[in-house]
Amino acid sequence: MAVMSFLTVSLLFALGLFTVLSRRNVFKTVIGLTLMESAVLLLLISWAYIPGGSAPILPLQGKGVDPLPHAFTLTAIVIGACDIALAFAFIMKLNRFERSVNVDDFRRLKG
Amino acid sequence: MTEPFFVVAAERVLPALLAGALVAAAAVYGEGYFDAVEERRAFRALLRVFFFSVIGAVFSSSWLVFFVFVEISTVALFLMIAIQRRDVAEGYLQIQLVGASFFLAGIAGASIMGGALLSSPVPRVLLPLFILGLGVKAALPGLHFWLPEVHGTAPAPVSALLSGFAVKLGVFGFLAALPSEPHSFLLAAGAFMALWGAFRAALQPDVKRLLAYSTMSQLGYIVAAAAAGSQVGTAAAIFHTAVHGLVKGMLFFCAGILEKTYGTKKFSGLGGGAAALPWTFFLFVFAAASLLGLPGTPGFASKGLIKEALHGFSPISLCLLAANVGTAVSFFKMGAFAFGGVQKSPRKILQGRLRLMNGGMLMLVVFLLPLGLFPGWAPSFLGVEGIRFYSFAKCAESLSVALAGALLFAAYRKKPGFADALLRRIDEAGSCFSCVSERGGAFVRSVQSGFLRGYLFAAVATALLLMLWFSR
Amino acid sequence: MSEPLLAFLYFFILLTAVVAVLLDDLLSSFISLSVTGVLMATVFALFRAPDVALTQAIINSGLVTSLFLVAYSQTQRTPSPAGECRECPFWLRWPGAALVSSLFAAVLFRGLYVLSGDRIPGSTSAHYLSQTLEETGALNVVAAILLDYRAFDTLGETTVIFTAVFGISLLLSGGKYVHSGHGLSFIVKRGMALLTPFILLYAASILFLGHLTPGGGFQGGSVFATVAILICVVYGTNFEAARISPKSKETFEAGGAMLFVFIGLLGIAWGGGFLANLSGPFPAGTPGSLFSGGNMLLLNLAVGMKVGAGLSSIFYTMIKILELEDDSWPS
Repeated sequence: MAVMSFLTVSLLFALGLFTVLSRRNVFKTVIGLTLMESAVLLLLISWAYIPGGSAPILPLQGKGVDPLPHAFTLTAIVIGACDIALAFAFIMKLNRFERSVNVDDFRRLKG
Repeated sequence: MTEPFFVVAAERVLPALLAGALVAAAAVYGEGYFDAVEERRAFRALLRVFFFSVIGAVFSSSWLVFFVFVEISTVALFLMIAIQRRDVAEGYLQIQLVGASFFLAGIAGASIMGGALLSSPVPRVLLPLFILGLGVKAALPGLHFWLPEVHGTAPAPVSALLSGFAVKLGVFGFLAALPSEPHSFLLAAGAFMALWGAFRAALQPDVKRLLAYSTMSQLGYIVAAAAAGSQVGTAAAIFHTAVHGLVKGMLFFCAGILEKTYGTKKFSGLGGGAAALPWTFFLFVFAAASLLGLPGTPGFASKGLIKEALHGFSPISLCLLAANVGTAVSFFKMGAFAFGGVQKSPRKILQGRLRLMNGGMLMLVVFLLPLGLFPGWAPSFLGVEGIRFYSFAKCAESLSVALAGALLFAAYRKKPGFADALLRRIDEAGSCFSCVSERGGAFVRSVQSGFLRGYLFAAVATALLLMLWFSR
Repeated sequence: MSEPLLAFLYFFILLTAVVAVLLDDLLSSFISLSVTGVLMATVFALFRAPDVALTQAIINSGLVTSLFLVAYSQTQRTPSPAGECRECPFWLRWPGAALVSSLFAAVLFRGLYVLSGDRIPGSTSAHYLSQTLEETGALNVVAAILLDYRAFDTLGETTVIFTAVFGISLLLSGGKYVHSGHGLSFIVKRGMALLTPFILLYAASILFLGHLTPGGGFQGGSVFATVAILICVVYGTNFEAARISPKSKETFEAGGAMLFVFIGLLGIAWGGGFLANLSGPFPAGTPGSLFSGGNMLLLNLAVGMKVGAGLSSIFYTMIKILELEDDSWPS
């Protein structure tokens, strides 16, 4: 099961990376970013799982799963949402300057 | 790193005090010098950064820490010069970065071979790298072409900091890098710098360039003293660093006041300053006398100590003596043209600003006076005892040098620009390598496509390659 | 938990992700991404991570999609030319990117493969699982980690939220704001009016019971922000701004942060250290009741205020540009 999870994580991350590198629409870049973040979240949670474990709410029924990565993942989700919001704000602002959402048109910092 | 970052020792405290004095005086002076509020604000902020970085550099314990702080101070100076002259600032930064890369290569080698602490001399084989890197900062001949341009066109308080402290950081590095035996190349280089600088200074048509060349000349003194290798030499170098820093600071402040009053830096536009700016004239006389080494001034003490250190190297001492004559010529020239002669039309500066600028100069005098009145204090602080400063022979020597300079000036005062064009071409021969860096920069700029995806692709591909390489 | 179920969910996660990547229509791809988020929340729940599943569903599937919709409506899109970009270097076209990404996936998987094996939680996690009740008085171990053992990190996280809000309002500042009185139709408004109290109750329960059941300040605050967004959409921004003015949102946000720090300082004043819980002046209470867990109730409140106000002011800032005249934009 862990192998399956890791396989999915790698594929999801690669999918996100592919999107960022090859899609021209800047919204697709944000999608790629989201996919990469989701891959990492999946990795953290799947790695925290202990077979036969129960949710980390006391009183535990049997062993509990590892709660520390859950805390990290919570933080990561919130921060991911914040950075995606900021990315959207950047897109809106850039759109006013260039009137396009093509990431190849944003070349003002060249040189 | 198990070693502490910072080390406190006698020979580091004196430069730190110098830095403090210069920065404080420059802060006061800058309030009066800069016209616009944003300039004043920027200068104040950058002055603090400069002070912090310089203190860190002076008290650092290892080469890498020293390097980091020196580069921070370079950036602070770049920004300060850019307050008024962006192009000159960029040239300065480029040159310093090239020197810094050599310096860093030397440090990397030293860390690998052991001996990365500032307290132990550097392995012999790496010494050329260090000399090359630090030489750019200390304006060794061949690497000095940036000095007249930058020091001569930067805003006056920034020139004061540059000439007063920044170039001394290079010498500080020399003192740490050299083993304790005389280094013939640096001795010769120092003597050459002293002569070249002094005589080029006498030929300049521009006040600040005169002062810049004079800095180069005095740096020659310091480098020669440092290269002598003995403890007396080290103490002499540091003592003269302090004295020269304070004095050159005063002189650059004075040049700034002249520039603000008369609107120009060229000698053809200046005149009659003694009547228009009495306080400034008085302070200038004190500073120039100190630089000439007249008895009773701190310059006399420090030059005396240098002569002690170079006791066994008579050709070098003779060169330094000749350079002293040249210095005398140039400062008589500055005094006569700027402060004497026909009164050119001075602009009206606000009395408050003039007071601030003079106040800055006065602060430096306060630090200079004890060094002059108690010449034995600084050397004994640095560990050298028992030097007799005042003897008939020495006083006579310094007075006669001053007299010779005055006579030379009087003889040649009609031809201020003699042979300057030819010598300038020699000087600027070293600056052609800036066109190489231009070419390289243009190439890099053409490779940059501007595509975000392209950059990301390159980054990811490189990371993958590194990963595959390291996991074989 | 059965492996086939997990495999099924993973397959659909990847499928929806591929759809999100490859579709040309932006709206459909973001809806597909939202589906991916919900599926991932299900997977998280199957992995016995209820807090994380809740957060993922609310924030990633809900809030991010609504922010995308705002951004999408604000941008002028020239139709992108079909096919590959002509002036891109050859390696940037999709074969090159696919090659690099698959190489990356292979390297990543090879590295991760080493980790598969019997999972033994580290000593820290074992400590958290066994000692939480005595040391913090709370029942939700994850909330205890976030608000007691590692409360300082949570303070940093609220700083990140603040930075995002600040950056967005900086980027999208300027220009006039025109209130819109429109909203949706009458039926929607009445329905929303019936529903809102329950949503608010739900949000409050997630927030205040965060130390006992899955939930907490982040989740609760996000649902509060969702309510604000819903009211904006259904009733028009005029109504929403009258009810909760932007100034009060800023006050709430700052108030949340200050409450957090104040609680931490109380801990110092008591002699326990910054953000001290039971070693500070806060009582442990009986486990399982509302007033237990020391300062976790208050910290949840502070975090909820911060997150809720922050996220809704992000939405409000992005919406604001919607109603500007086009030529009054400062370029």
